[in-house]
Amino acid sequence: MDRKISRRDFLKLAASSGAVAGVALVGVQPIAAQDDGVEFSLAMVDWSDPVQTAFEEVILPRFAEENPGSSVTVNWTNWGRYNEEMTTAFASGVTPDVFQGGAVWAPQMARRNWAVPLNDFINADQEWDWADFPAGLQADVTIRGDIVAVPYRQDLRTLWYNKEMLADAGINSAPTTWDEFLAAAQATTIRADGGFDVEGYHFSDASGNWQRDWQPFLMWVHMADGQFLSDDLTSCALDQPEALEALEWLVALVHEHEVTSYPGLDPQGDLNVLAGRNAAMQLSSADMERVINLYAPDEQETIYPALPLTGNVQATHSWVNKFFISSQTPDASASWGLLRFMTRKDMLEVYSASNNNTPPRLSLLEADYMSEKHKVVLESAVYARTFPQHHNLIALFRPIAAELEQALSGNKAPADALVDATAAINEIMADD
Amino acid sequence: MNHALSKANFADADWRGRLYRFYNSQAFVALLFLLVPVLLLAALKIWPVFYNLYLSFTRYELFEPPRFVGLKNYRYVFTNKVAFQSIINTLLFTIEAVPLGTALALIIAKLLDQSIRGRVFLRTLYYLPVVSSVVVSAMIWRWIYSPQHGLLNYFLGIVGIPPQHWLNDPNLAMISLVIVTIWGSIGSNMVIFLAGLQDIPRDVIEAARVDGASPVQSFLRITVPLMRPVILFVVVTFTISIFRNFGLIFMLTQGGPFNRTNTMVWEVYQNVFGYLRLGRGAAISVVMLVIVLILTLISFRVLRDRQGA
Repeated sequence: MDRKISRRDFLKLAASSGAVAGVALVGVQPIAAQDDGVEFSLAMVDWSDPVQTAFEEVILPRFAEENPGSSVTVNWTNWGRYNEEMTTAFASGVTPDVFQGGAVWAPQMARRNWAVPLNDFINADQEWDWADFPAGLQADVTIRGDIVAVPYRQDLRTLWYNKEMLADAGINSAPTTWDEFLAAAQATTIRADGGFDVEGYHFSDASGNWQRDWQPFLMWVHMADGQFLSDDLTSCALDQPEALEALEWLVALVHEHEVTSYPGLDPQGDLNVLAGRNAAMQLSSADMERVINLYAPDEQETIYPALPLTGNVQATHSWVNKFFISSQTPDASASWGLLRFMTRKDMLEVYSASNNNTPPRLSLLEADYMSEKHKVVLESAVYARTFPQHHNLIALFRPIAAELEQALSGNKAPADALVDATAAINEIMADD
Repeated sequence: MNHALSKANFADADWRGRLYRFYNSQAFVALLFLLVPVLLLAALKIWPVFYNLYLSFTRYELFEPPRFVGLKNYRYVFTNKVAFQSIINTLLFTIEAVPLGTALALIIAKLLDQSIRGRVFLRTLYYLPVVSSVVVSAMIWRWIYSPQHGLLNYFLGIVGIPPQHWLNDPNLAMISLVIVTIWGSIGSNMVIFLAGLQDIPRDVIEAARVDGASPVQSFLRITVPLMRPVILFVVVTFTISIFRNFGLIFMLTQGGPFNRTNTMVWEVYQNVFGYLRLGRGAAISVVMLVIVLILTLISFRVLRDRQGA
């Protein structure tokens, strides 16, 4: 029998749907005050399985123990989707209370007012000890006087090399200058069938990631004593002789000396090119040690870090990763409690050890987990430069990425590529 | 006056009576039900389109209110080298993928419409990429295209062809993406064509065969003309899907090398999420919409007119 739907039925249906929607909306509220504690949300992007274990088994239980009734919900995400995840979170007003950010995030978070300034919390908290963070790292997260984040990792890039491969080629110590580097690269390169079996130096891989080239390129620019932006952050400095020297050097490594391929060799899954013995040298971070320990334990005694090379100066690059408190958190003071907890010495040691991170606290330099290799990486800190504090660095990196492709492929002269990149970057800055 | 009043009262009563009857009718309930999808459509589809149009005339970076900038964003789309190249790349992508992909899907559908052994298995096989996640597909193709460890270069090596940088060579990157796109879409297009082929009267084909037409002639002279409405549908939907093709670009090339695979949708993504320039992203989206409309109209013109002829 047909049953007609009355207005009453419709209204009942509408009311039920509304109630369900209401309950659902209440259910997804990011932060809820509880009777005897606070429920925090935390976004973690810089992690590996051991980090997750460390958080779930040590850090978060300890936090709950010290803050009865409080709990932390963690969103384990990844760099590939993190930027849009956070952008949409801020646009829709549902950000985590505390979140991790990358090396170039501090100026853009400050510009967008998306991070809570932490000066008052830090100044009032002597026990937590801000002075334990090196001055360079403090400067990196301080934007126009506001401390907008707290570092949890300094990702120092330096030279990693395969000691055995170099020794087999008659070289018994790590290169220290560009000339020594070239000699070592030439001695270890093995070419076959018009390609490479082993790259003396691995510049970048053949991934589709548009950021693959400018990252190592900037290190060579630093070694040439050049810089990406002018000191006052108003113009691009890549048209200066130092940057040109760095690019001409790289182009020569590819086309004249043929010690590295462009595009470079592919990693074999989790095994990067150095760990997979397809390269003898690479500029990399302490993460290399983690990769070797996990995926190429046989190479633990062959692959070592060395201090940064000396071009015109001895220099390298440091990526400072940090924790922010969202400007949308309902209780910044409570969120500082969580951030403070995660970045105090004992918890930072647990986190850093689990991910083989170079710690940002001076007092952790002698921590138990700091291996001899790690200490060499840490020595590089004195030669490290951080990113310029421009709020739109990602957009500024794009032209240099495109022009590097042109120059390294041999399609454009290095000088022309840098002039074009500089013009494009200046145009973006002028429009900002 | 009394007469006038009574006429007015009568009209009023009549109006209220009609309203009462409508209020108690099933049509009213139906309208209430319709209201829900209409409101959802308005809120989730129509309003965003107009809001996007509005944003395209503004500078908007999320952290401060949109600021009107006139046609500046559109000027950017057509004068900025990278943004303009994204339009060209998208058109090239469409021109390379749509005709080839549509033709292949039609041919495969025709072949699988025959009574051949393993037909169901083959149909399933061709449809498998459709149900695979873009991410999984991209990972598989990344491996196939890998310069050192890839399947494709391995087979090329067997016949003496040197390894190619499929995704890093500016001359090969776009065609590599086209291959993956056709591979991923052939199953769904084939199913649509198979459905269309069921509607072609068998007696017409039989009559042509009796008159001496070869299978190829029969396909080109009978099947294809009769399939024009279906081909039109596939061409339009395939074109739209290519304009929206983001996952593969994101996973495989990220717009490189040399911006050769930097399509409009990737440029929108870069502007919106990379640089927070929502106005520019909106302007590129509007241009994209206009181009899709033009291509759709051209497809209608070319394919429908001939059908009528």
